[in-house]
Amino acid sequence: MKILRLSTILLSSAAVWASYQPTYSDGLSSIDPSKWTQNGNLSAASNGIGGNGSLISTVSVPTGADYDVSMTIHTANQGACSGSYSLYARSTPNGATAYVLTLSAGSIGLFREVANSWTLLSSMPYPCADGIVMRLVVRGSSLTFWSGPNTAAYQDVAPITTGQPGVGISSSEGDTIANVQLGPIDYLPPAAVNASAIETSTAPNRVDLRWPASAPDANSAGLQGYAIYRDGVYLGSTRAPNWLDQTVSGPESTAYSIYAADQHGSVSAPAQVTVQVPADPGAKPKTGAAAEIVLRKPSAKNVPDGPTADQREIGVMPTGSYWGAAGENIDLLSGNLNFSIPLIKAMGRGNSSVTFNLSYNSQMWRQDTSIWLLGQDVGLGLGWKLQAGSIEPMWYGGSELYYLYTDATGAQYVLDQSNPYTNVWTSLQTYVWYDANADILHFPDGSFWNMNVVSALVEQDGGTQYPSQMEDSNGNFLS
Amino acid sequence: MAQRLLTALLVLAGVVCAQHSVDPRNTYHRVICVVPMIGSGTAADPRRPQYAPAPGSALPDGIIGFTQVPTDDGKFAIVEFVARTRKALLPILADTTISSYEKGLQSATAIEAALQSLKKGFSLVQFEAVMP
Repeated sequence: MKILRLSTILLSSAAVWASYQPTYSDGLSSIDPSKWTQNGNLSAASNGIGGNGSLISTVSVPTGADYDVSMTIHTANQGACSGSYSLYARSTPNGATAYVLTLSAGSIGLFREVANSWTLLSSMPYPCADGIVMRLVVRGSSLTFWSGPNTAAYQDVAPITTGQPGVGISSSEGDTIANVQLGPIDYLPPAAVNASAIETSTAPNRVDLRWPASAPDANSAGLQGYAIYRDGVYLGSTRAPNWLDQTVSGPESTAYSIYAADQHGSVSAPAQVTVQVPADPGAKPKTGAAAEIVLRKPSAKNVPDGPTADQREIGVMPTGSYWGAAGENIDLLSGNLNFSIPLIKAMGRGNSSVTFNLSYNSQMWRQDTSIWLLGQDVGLGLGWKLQAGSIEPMWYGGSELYYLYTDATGAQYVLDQSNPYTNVWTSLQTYVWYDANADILHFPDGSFWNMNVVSALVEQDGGTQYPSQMEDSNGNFLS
Repeated sequence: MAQRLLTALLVLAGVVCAQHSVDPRNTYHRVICVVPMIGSGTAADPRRPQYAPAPGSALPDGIIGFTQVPTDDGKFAIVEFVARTRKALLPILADTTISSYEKGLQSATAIEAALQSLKKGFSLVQFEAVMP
């Protein structure tokens, strides 16, 4: 059961192909009647087949009705996608019974067709462009399809059990499909992550995990990613061999389990590591009104000594104490160097304005129990951010635990004070509140931001929300 | 010179530090509900859950994605609808003839407990819709 669940939740693809060998490849510059059963009106050219119809393969795949099928879409004159494009799995030769994955009008839909009766099982947005690859993997009752680097898996409770793969197109504008690959399923799981090699870094409210990449089986289509559990609760999945957990609250001992999975849904044994999360030196005991967090303004009462200070406090907070005069701010509590300059000031009517800061924090590079990014660079300035502010939802166990508000300096505030009836979240650290129903971030001066720009999940900040419109209390706005 | 500096800094700013991203099953606004199936069963009007847009008719400010699983008796579908704004989900939330649960506001345990009476062993971890 656990394995089945894992195969459905590893949602992002590393697109790393090992030495996977497809059973059959066809550029479709011509239609080989010994390999395909043609339905409808199709014509072949050097860039693939076009028209209106489908090709159902007659080629046997070694793994029977479990296989991996993909194709490439070519649009006419490299323009926008104008037709609909389909992959078939477990299809009858006439295509009347099959799973059909169809890309059309910016969405991809997974259908189950039985005797020409169609049922739409799942649908999601899909960016279509010239050269894009559609891919479908069927294994037992599981169907996995790709949207860019992300995948979605569907478990069919009454699966079609036999049939062949195929491809189809309906385009009157000259679009074509080509480069079809049919391949077997590799059932061997990737190697488990080496538990003894998992590196951890802890702070009162976060745990960094990093591990050596797992090796897929030699015949695998490649590693898909990793699923992370904490104390048996699913946290999420990641393509990269690292994870940042910002849902812990020290002091506590917590155990992480990491599973590696390949692109065909084979899952490794778990690698487990137990982490001691330290107490927050700035927090009151967790009793009574306890959730209150003492502002980290240095005072005789609450300045932690030396190494107990949370050195991961970044950005420039109004309650902090900093040294520096030329854009740099050295946090006198943590010792962090934060660099933040107002780079762009967007002006609106009535002298309304919003400032975008360029910010950097020395916590980007760390050396504690392990070395984190120290000495690494991509040549373009790793760790710099230019923004006015952002909101990131933090989930745990299927519920929103809190929202993380990041201001223009990079300072982060936990909005964990919520009203369950209104879904409005605020903080004891700063005077902003976030209406999660309307995606609006409110400020005390009456201004507010519509946080409707969501970073795509292929980005490192995937799911983070940024402002699309910033409006002041007089109705003047920037968008 | 100033323009060149700004351009360079914008390029720098595009490279953000490694950070935690939101799980692709938790983005946008989501509601999980139990609805009847509609549609005639043709390719253009397939059998699909009530409120699910027909193929090719999904709008950016409407329901952008969903996934469904039939209930054990086959009469209904348990569906997760996804929309960029909560406004697009209000017709579902206001429909008193169906059961609906707003993800994030109601705990996963409570949602699973409510739906396991309709589908044995129902698990959100196994079910939820992925958004790119």
